Amino acid sequence: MAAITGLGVISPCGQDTSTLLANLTAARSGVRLVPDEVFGRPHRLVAAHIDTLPAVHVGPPGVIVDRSTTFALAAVHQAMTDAALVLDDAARLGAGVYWGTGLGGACSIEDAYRLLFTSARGRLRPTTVVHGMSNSSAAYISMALGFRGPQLNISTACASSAMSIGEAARAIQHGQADVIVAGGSEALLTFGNLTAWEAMRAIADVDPDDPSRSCKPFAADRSGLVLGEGAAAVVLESEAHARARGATIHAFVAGYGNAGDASSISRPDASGQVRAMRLALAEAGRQPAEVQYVNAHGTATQTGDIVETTALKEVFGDHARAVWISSTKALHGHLLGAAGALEAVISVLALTHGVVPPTAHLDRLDPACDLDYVPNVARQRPLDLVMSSSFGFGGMNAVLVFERSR
Amino acid sequence: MTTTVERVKAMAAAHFGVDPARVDVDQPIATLGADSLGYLEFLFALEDAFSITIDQDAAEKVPTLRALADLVDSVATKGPQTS
Repeated sequence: MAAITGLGVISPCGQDTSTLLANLTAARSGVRLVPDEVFGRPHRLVAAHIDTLPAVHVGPPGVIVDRSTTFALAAVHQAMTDAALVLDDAARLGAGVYWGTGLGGACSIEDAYRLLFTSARGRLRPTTVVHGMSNSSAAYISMALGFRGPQLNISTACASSAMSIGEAARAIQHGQADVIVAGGSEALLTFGNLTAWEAMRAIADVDPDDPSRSCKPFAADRSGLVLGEGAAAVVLESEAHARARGATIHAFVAGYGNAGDASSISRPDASGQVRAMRLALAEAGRQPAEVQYVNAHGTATQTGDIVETTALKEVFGDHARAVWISSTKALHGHLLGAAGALEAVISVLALTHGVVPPTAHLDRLDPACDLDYVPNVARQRPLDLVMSSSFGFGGMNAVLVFERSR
Repeated sequence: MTTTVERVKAMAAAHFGVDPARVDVDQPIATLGADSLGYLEFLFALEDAFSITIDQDAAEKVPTLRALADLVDSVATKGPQTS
């Protein structure tokens, strides 16, 4: 089992773990109307935007990295500081970087195409290729830390960073590295990308009374997802490595399940989700009834929430009505490729603090979503075993099970 | 009136995050800490600021910011670019 010794977040609900947990527990939303400077024409769109970019100095002087990379480097720096991990040259040679992102340097690509298509000069920045490529954030992380061990960049839509954590934990378990920094980043709140999501008709309607309440997972009046941006990182170590240096172990990655639907490019399928959850529990060697909290995928789409509810019932049986389930996306939005990592961090914070953040904006119950989604108010109890689900477009499902440090 | 070399110096300081007082236009450009990609980005910014197109090979050979400013001047005096 890989030990989690460091956590870092740059999220619409806070740019450090304590602020994030406090905001989620109090159901304070990071969602609001998209700023006019982001969207070039009149609109009624909500998103979970990061207003103040984290201050990080990165890369060689004179090179401005992609927005998603700025988030990534700040989250990784936090996680490394939290882990209080200082490695010598030999240890850095074996340390890995496993990252996840849906569209990588999408802001750089969109900026480039805007210049190319709309300016008379039609030229592109020299960094367009290297900042647009999907592994740009992973590369800058490895450079910032000097980690020269195994490198992996995973792009499986909304399951990307959950898989990066799962695969990293597995690599550690198999002795391929003692230390891996894992997580994901995404910055897709651009004019082009928001328009693309709008075209898919997957975006939530703006709540007429309060735009910050527009995302309503599992509620009868849910109308779709709300996009967010940010990054989250974890420092993973072999238990022996963590114990030897006297590190504080927040939790263990007890199990990881990865399974495909092979049925639709956009519509989720309960069977793939069920298998991912079962595989994660089997790897953890735990029974469904032992899980106390599930941080659900819960995007607040009409179909998605019902499919997930069906899958939860199949996996948990009678326990489905007892287990606490919440979707924190109501508050921080859907971070897409970074969602799995952010929600993994939230799940670990829930474990270590014994507090379950609620599903916010859940006032009107949907008879088709009839489980205990911890509506609106956080709950407290000592926790030992939690699960985090991430289901990506294309039917790619990742489930992580975390166990409290003992 | 601001001379080209003063403008290039101010832009270099901002671009490479160096205190303008510490930028010596007669020192090798490498002392700014730029790698090749950072330097290319700087040339891109100069081209925008002066509405010119700088020959990459020539720009890679200039030793100092002063020589780069001369290169900018030599291109700029050829008149507006059409590209």
